[in-house]
Amino acid sequence: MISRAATTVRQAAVLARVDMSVIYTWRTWLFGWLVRLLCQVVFYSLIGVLVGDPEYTVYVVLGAAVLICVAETMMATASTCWDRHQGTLGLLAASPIEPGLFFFGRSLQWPASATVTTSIALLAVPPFFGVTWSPWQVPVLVGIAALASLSGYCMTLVLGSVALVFSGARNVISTIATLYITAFCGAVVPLHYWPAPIRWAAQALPATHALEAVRLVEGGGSAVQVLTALGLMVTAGLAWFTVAFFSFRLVFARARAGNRLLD
Amino acid sequence: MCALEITQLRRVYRRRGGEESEALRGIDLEVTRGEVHGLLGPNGAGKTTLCKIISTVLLPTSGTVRVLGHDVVTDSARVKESLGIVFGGDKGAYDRLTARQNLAFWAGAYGLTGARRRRRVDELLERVGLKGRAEERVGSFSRGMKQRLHLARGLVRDPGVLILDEPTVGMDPVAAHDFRALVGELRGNGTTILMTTHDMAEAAALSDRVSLIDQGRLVLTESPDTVGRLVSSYERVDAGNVPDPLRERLAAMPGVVSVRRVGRAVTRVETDDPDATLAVLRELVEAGIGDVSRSTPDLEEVYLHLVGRRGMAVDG
Ligand SMILES: Nc1ncnc2c1ncn2[C@@H]1O[C@H](COP(=O)(O)OP(=O)(O)OP(=O)(O)O)[C@@H](O)[C@H]1O
Ligand SMILES: [Mg+2]
Repeated sequence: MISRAATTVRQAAVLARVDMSVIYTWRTWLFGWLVRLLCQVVFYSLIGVLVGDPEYTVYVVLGAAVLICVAETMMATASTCWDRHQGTLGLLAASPIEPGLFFFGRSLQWPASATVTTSIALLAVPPFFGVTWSPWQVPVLVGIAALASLSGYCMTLVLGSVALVFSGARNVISTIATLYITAFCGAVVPLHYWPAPIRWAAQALPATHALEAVRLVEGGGSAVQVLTALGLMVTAGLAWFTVAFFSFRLVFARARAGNRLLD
Repeated sequence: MCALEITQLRRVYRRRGGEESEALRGIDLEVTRGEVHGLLGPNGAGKTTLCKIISTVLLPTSGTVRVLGHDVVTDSARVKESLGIVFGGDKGAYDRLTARQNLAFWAGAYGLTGARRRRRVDELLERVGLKGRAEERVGSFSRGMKQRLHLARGLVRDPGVLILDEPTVGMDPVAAHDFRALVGELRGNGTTILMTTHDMAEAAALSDRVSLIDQGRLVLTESPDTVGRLVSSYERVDAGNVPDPLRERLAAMPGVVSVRRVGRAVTRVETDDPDATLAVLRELVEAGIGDVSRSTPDLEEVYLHLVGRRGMAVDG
């Protein structure tokens, strides 16, 4: 059972790896993609500088760095639809593959890449805006980036399962989701600014807890506090994964009953 | 035991706007183990729909389908494990993956791992003649090469039942020949094969039995020999410059199936028994028409007779 699941994910991850190698060479990844993302962080940070509040500048730098992992894992919404264009959905449906596991493996290139880009953004940009990291904080931040990427990715898979059905709207879906997450996860607008229902809803976003953890590390929070934030983030990620798992099953079951999805 | 047992199978598609179309209208078919069964029919007859229902991609609207005794609705997991499918066309492969990676992916999907998987993939690449191109991206493959890859993919699991939906579309004659050899080999191993095609000759050459499907119904299920006999029972006479009154007389004769013009001055009379043919010939000669020839139609024309002369018109 477990080994079959692992095989499925591993097999699908081959697609992820190959797709990544077709989309980027290490040069275009480094000088194109990474530089673009770092510019985005710097751009947000300059807003903080313009506002003229050093504390808020740090707040925004950290927020913008974590948003990188949101932006990058959001790519999974589109890549989930790639099988539709390849005409392989019908074959997947006919095979014993568990669709949720397949799609989890299929776009793993994004959380993998996001782990690296977010780590670099967190470690490299904030020092220019008055943050100093001590050596022991480096592995902690990389760990947060990895978990945040994976949890955020699980959430995106749910969006991907929706985009699979409404594939014409896949970019709209990811754009709107990115907007909402950017607004409500506490990246640029402090959470307490929002009314309670939104604050509660924001708890479902892995990015909210990732930011909490990063800010705790920066502000000298205790290990227990950091671990609590991470625990909440991983819980949210697992919950999203479960939703995605059943959502993909539902999409495939519905497709079998009726529409043209599996053509 | 039956490898495929299809009873009263119906499938309705619901189009946008709630309009319904019935793609399968009560199909009954049994395919025994080890049989190669050819499924023939014009565009839109319902062949692909039938294949998709058997391979658990679509649900039947009503009726049952059993694959090696397992119901496609209630026991689809078992069906998936024992079935290999090949859908024609050039989609359905991962273009960015090499041929080998594609096969390895699907072998993994069907539960093969490690050395067993590597061996199986090598074996299949060899078998469909893609060994020399195994490390190339499939995106650069020709249609025929993709078709070979699809075929190999359908065999990853050494399936008990193989569903082939137009497997030779896009293959060159050499590849099609190799494909036939492969089907023969599989039959030798006891694999049950259901194969759709537009090519009567291909169906006749490969199948133990052929079924004709039209507008969602099975028109007939026979051995290719019987179909062949059916073919030879049809005959035709072509004659030049037949006056209209004579044409009418010919059309009224017993055993004459049709009288129509082909070309400007040629009238074609089709009969379904040799005696009628002789009578037609006598009538023509007596009327003083010397430009007369007699021939048997090919498989294709019989097929047209059976599904009606709708020509290129596809039903909605
Ligand atoms: N997803 C769908 N939605 C609505 N109608 C469909 C759908 N798929 C097929 N049909 C209709 O069902 C009928 C049977 O189609 P099917 O594809 O099974 O025919 P076929 O015999 O495979 O034809 P071809 O020889 O062209 O491949 C056709 O009238 C077709 O228009
Ligand atoms: Mg078809």
